Amino acid sequence: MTLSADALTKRFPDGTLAVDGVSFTVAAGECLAIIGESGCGKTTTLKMLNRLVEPTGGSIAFAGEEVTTLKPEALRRRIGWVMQGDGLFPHMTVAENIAVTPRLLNWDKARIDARVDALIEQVRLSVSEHRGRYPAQLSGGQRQRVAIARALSVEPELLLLDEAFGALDPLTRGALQDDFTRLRRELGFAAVMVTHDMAEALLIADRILVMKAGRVVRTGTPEDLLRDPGDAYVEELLAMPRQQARAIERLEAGHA
Amino acid sequence: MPDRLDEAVANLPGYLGGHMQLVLSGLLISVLIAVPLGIFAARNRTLAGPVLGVASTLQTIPSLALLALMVPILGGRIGFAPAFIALTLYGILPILRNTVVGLQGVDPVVREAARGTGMTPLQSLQQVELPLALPTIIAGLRTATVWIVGTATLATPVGATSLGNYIFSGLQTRDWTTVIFGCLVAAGLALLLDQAIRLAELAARERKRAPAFAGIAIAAVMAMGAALPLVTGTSAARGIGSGEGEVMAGIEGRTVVIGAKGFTEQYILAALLERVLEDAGADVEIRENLGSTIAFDALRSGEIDVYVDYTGTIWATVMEREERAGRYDMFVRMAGWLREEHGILALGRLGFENAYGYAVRRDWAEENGIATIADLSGRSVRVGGDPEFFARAEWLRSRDAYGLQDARTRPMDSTFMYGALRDGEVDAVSAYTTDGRISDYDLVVLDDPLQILPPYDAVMLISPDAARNPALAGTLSVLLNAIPAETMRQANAMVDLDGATPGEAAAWLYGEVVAAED
Ligand SMILES: Nc1ncnc2c1ncn2[C@@H]1O[C@H](COP(=O)(O)OP(=O)(O)O)[C@@H](O)[C@H]1O
Ligand SMILES: [Mg+2]
Repeated sequence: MTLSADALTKRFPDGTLAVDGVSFTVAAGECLAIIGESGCGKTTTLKMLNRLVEPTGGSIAFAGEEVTTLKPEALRRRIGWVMQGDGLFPHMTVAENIAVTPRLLNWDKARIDARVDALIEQVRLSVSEHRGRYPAQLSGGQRQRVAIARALSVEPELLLLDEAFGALDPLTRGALQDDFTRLRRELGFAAVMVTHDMAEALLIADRILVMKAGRVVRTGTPEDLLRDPGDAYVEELLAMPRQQARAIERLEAGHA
Repeated sequence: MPDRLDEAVANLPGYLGGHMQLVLSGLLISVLIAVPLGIFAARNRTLAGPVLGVASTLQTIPSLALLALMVPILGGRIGFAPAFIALTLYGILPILRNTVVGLQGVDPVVREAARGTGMTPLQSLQQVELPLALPTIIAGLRTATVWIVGTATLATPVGATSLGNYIFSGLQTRDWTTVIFGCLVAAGLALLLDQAIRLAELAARERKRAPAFAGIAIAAVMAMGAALPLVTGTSAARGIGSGEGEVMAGIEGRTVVIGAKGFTEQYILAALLERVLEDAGADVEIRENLGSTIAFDALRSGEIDVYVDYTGTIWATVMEREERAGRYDMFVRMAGWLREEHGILALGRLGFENAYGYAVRRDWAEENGIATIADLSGRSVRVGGDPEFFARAEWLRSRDAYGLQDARTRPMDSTFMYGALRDGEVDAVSAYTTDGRISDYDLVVLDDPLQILPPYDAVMLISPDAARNPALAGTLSVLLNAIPAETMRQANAMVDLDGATPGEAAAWLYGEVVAAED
């Protein structure tokens, strides 16, 4: 088991109960999607996993260790993180952004250079063209690819993604989702992926966790959820992708 | 004109070098204080307000006052130290403020990204926050640079050599060539340094050429500052007596530091003392344009060995005596007090008085039937005078004794007050009785029947340390009672009216009073 969260709770100092007793597990290589409407506590849950937010209750075990026993910086250097908005350092080139964590871990320069070049290729950017550019000189999709490359820099067992594809146009987003699935197959990392897009969760994740107002309302594989939503809220979330799929089927049938 | 310019150019290495030393060291220490403090304040939001408040308050102290205050705070030290500290305090605010603003302006998303990639707070500061705040911090540094270059010209009255020496001396001797020259060099220096910093920053941003470009620019500027004083060979020598406690005899080959306040007569007398001491084989250094009380503090602490002051000034300002005293009585009592209280040797009187007196235009006096200060009573006359005068007991007491309550005071630089009187902009001025312009502009000094205005005998004062070397007093004794008031007035007129340099006037004076005796 790569990750297991038990009864995670977060009450902010101002009294907001953002996360209320959330439990889940992520197996090695598995992709868990956390889905729910804006403000339901997805980001807070994700940030507790690498201790950017300290839980006020519950426990987290990563690779068999209780995370509160690890130094936060050491933990974060072992877990890849793609934050909401790309979060790239504007004063660093693509290569420097990707090299941040390896440098913190004191890798030697040759190893860092080789790793950076390999990652640029893996996220389907061009070493010759993009390596020395600054984030401001890239498109939104390219920036997101760099953010993913940066999160993968030290070959982490676990990747955390917070609406990583949310702000992109549909074509770019589709391409990026495909590449993400391919990378996961090639590199075998586990992932916790926060999204508010049910279609994305259905297409990419192995398992889906539905949150509402800080609580878990349903956990299951995409097939489980489609077969038996089990909850009116989940039903609601599934309605839109279903409608769209049917409409497209009808159109295609009509043309045939 | 051309020789004025030649002289200005000849002084350039020393003045510019002194200025550069003040500016660069002030800036360097400002940065070393303001940047860490700014980092600390930016991280503790409750601290940011008070810290910026204190720095802003320092900024509102007028720069000249801040500089002058440093002298008593440092126990009478003049020269580099007080000027350097005041300039450093001045440079802190813009750098501190921009450091705080720059760091607080870093996007929270980027700061969170730094944490998320595994940086410690220190690594985040070094690798992310400071680099992103750097343009703002540099902008603060540039502001500080321009401020410090400008304010350093005010370091002259506390005895630090700077480009202000051109401005202060030129203003007092009405030598506009020198004033403009000083202003242009100071402005040029401000622009140059500002651009050097800008180029270094640009180079740092185009990261490839960063080290080379920035290094060259900064190194060039530093080298200029460091090298100039070497070229002129000036060093901040202290007085001759500063060799711990030993009694020294002889004067040949020793360095004597002469002080002078910031007006024509003082420049001339300093140059005269210089000639006399150099005749005896001493090396002489002159610290001129010292503020009035700063000169005395510097003498007491041994920063200067000798200077000329006036009995009435010491009596009222230093001894804080309220009572009146006659000319000779005052000298004797002053000399005893100085020796007793401070170990200062009042060598003796030069022979002339340079008193304050109320001067008016002769035609105006005749028209209005005015012959004594008492005749001004009850009139709403406009009285011009240097700002120091209106703060002194002489003004307050003569105002009360002669009923001058209705007079309107117009403080102005003493350089301009005689012209203002001639041109009818004021009706009376607090003139110096040895000023050459009194006879030249057809002015008269009003009688003082109640003897309110104290005597102002010019006296040579020798520092406690230097007083241990009898050779200094012995050498200077040739000037005792040697300068009649009329002779001094002529020497002053040479500079103030005929455009001679103080050095030229001193040469003439030397011929009159020293060479004539031989
Ligand atoms: N630092 C904070 N202090 C107080 N409340 C917060 C803080 N961060 C988030 N919240 C609140 O917690 C709830 C969950 O926020 P978040 O986890 O960001 O939701 P999501 O990512 O699902 O949109 C929201 O009501 C939000 O306003
Ligand atoms: Mg969120």
